Amino acid sequence: MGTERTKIITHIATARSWLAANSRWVLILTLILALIFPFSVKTYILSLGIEVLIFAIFAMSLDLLLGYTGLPSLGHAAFFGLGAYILAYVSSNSELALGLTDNLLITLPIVILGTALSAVILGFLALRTSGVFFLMITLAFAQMLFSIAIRWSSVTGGSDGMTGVPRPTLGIGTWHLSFTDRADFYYLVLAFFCITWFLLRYIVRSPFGLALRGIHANEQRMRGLGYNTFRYKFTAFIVSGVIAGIAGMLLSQYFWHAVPHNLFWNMSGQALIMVVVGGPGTLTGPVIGATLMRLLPNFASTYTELSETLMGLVLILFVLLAPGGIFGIFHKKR
Amino acid sequence: MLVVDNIHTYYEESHVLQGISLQVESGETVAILGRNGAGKSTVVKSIIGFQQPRIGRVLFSNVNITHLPSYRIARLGAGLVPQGQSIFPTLTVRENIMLASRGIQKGIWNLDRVLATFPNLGERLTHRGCDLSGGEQKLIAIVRALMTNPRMLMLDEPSEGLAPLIIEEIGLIIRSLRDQGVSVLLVEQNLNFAFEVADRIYVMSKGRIVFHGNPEELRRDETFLQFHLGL
Repeated sequence: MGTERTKIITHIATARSWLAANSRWVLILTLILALIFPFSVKTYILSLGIEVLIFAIFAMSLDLLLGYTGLPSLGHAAFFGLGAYILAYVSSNSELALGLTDNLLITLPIVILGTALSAVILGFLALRTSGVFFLMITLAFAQMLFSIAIRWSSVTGGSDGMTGVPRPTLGIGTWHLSFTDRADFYYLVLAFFCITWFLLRYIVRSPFGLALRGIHANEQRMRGLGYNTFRYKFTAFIVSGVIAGIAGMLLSQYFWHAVPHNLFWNMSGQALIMVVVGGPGTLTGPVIGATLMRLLPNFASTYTELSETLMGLVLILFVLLAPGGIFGIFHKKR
Repeated sequence: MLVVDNIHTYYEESHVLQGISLQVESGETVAILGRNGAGKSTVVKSIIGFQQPRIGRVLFSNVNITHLPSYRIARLGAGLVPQGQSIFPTLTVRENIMLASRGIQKGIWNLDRVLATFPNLGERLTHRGCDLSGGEQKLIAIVRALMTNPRMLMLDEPSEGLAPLIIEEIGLIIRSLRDQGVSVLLVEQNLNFAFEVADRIYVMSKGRIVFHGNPEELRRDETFLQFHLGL
């Protein structure tokens, strides 16, 4: 037992230093694999790939709050679902919606503005609290939107949600791109994923990101150093909400609809589990967590009906044994 | 530089500071002594705004800071070295130091000067705060406060739990700050350390000030020392 343990620790240490030395190549290889992915897999696997990428964007956005700033939001689905509903309202051809356009150059700014506005409102209220109160306020906000989506069916479509959401296009004048085809849409999602990844990497490595980590470590001390910490948390909250909204937009375009479930607390909980299991406070962690959380139920449910029990067990094990998540095991902190 | 005028500070209903008045002039080092629970740290917290007084006022550079948020007080030039583990444990040494260089007016302290003054820090820059010894952590907390280029530095029990050599180094830093015209407000339980660096001393007991004078006067009064400071 003792020697086995030592062996495992040695292996992990080797993997850590190998990863640290070759991170650039790992990144390039991953990108190449992601680019040739649609040519080499069946439709079903491609669908899973799209879902994984969308949820990875969602989980990364939450990690900016949870892992970097230390704000445990249990209502992140609010922005995810709002992104989906705003997009559906603008572009769906159902009777409830405006059905204006499917052009991303118009719909994307509307989604960004709409989710940013709601993040301003929720952030202004919720960020005056912390810890479990912050968790409860964010949860309550998301559940409030959820019940509006269910009850106010003349506007939201009720529990059926808003159907007839088209896949997006991108065009100026006569130049025109369509992402209706599944593989084309995959590349669009991949592009959003890469932009999100590099944007967040830029943010967390900037002095702003350093301040967020300082707030995570000790907010009062940061105020003692002259930081208006509310302003930093507020900005992070808005950025995070907008990115979650974009993920929700992509999901509704992918599944051709926006449904109340996108706003449900279960969705917030899933994102939270993705971050915690994958590795909070890193960008790779949430991506690993999203991959695991979307793939595991698919394979596990083939064998057993108890896939959710399995996910629960996985979560408990990680919280107890590896608080740094999967990525935390192999990633050596400086 | 600093005028604390008859402040009363409460934690919930507990009346911790019961009318504290004190002053720190420009370039002066002032120490507050007292036993555990006398309210020394609460004075610092009341000044920096972590625990605002209910009655009384605090003036800093002739600005009434009594009810300003902490970050505004810090930006006016009040630096703080907190009690205990006073650094950000999850950040590296470099990050700890660089955090302090933003948002506040530029001055003579920057990373180059820090490394010239404390050469040992150079090889520690990439270490995480929690991997350092207590003495190194305290030193970095002081450096971090200096990076904000304060006009007044408050240190809350900086010698607590540290080896004599490190305490001596901290003493040297405090003296050189005085030479540069920076005011220092020192909260201590270590009497010898306070006697060595302070120009003036306040002694606190049960939320009030029971002595105010220079170190020599206090040192001579042995019955008083025995009674209020347990020596």
